[in-house]
Amino acid sequence: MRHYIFAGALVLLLGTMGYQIYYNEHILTVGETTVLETRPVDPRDLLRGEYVILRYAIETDELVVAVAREVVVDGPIFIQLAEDNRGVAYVVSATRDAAAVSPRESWIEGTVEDGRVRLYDIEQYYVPEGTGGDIEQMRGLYVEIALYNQQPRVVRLLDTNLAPL
Amino acid sequence: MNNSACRRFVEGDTILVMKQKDIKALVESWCTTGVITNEQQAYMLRSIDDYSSEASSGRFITSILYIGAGALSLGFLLVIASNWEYFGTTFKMILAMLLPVVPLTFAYWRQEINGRTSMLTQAANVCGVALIGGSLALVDQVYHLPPDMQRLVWLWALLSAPFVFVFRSAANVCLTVLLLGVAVLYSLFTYLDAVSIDEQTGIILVTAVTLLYAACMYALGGVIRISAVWDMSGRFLRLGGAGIALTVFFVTTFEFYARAIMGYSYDESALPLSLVFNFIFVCFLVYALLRAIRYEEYQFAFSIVRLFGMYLLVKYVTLFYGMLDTGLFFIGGGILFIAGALLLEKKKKYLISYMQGSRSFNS
Repeated sequence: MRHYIFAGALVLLLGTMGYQIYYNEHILTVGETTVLETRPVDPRDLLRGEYVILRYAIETDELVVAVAREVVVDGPIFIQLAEDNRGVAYVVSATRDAAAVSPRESWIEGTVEDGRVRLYDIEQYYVPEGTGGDIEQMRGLYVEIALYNQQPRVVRLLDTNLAPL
Repeated sequence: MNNSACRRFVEGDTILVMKQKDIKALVESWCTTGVITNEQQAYMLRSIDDYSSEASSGRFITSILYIGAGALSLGFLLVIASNWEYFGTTFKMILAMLLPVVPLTFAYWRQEINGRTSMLTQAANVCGVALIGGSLALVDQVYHLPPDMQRLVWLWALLSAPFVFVFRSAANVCLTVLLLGVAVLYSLFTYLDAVSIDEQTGIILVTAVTLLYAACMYALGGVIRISAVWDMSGRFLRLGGAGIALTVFFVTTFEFYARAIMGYSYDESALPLSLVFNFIFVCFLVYALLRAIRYEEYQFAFSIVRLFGMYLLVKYVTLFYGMLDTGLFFIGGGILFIAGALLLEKKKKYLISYMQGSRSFNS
């Protein structure tokens, strides 16, 4: 009997982690990639590792902020993106209504909190120990992300020339 | 055996707990009165010393073992946290899967297949459960996901829970209960922050949830302790629950807590409510002490007495400034202690027969 419990526990453990890996890999594999302009805020040391906090130009875009403050309540916000001639994304429109989001267009989901727009899923970038300070000093950085069902995942950091760091 | 300094002599249905030096004095008195010979006395005294050394070393080795398992797990976590860039994502994912599976499988193989429940088995077990959290953190790190502590701790606790029934060890119960408690409290704080609840309600909710969790631990411990397999785990849950409840009640005895509940500022007095909390604490303390003595948890009983001493000291420092107040406080306290001792002396025979009756019932 205990053999079955142990096997079941292992299956549950591996299944949970396997699902997490599959879900994130799926977004990275089939998601549409786009590039966002960013500015690292500061590196922090946590048990998970050294990482830099990323802020995005689209979070403070005038149109996005205006839509975010239309409704006082915190909650999701959806930002429609398009790419310029360099391949960097810019804001086309924004809405608090999930029903207005079309799957044929490029939308990213964020969160409105106290009137501010946050892209929690792509706000942190884990870096090798000791390198966070260098990245924090850089300006003109970009982040390549994968988008799938409005869910973003960080692919990599890019420099001013859109080349991988 | 409770600890290296105590021995249990079973005499019919009565179990005595004596310090090592008292046992030796008893043995020497038997020799003096001719109950045992000198050779028998020497043999018994040597046996007591040998057993004491073995028990002490056993506890020492167990402590070293758990420190080692904890350090090993922490070391793995820190290596992961250093963001080991020499290997790619695939290797990291394989590592994430294997990190907890390998030690847990090893522990299970040794315990169930080989039938050896040794220190190494225990270390592998504890390491494996601790590394479940490390693996979850590694997955988040690889995909640059936000550090969602609430999700991490809940998942860690839920994935650790089945191994409680696999290994049936107190260490597994300890880890899982600790993780569950952290998850519950973290979720509560997150909820309170999200709904922007007022401070008074928040404090009451946190206190109530913590006490409820402690009560659940105690109740669960009481249910499972009847089984020989879960006896140690049940004991841990009961002591842990009682300890948490005592700590929470102790915190409520401070006037700042009563002020926070009432929403008063620093210069306003909440003495009446504070006195009620102090009364509740003392009542619970006495109840816990009686229960500890009844279930022969003497170390816990001593801890309760020490807590009471600390409580008196804290009250002396925080409440009384003048000699008159201090004098009255000590007079009142002294009268209470003397009255209590006289009462206990008078009722000693009744208490002994009560406890003997409880043991007979429990056995």
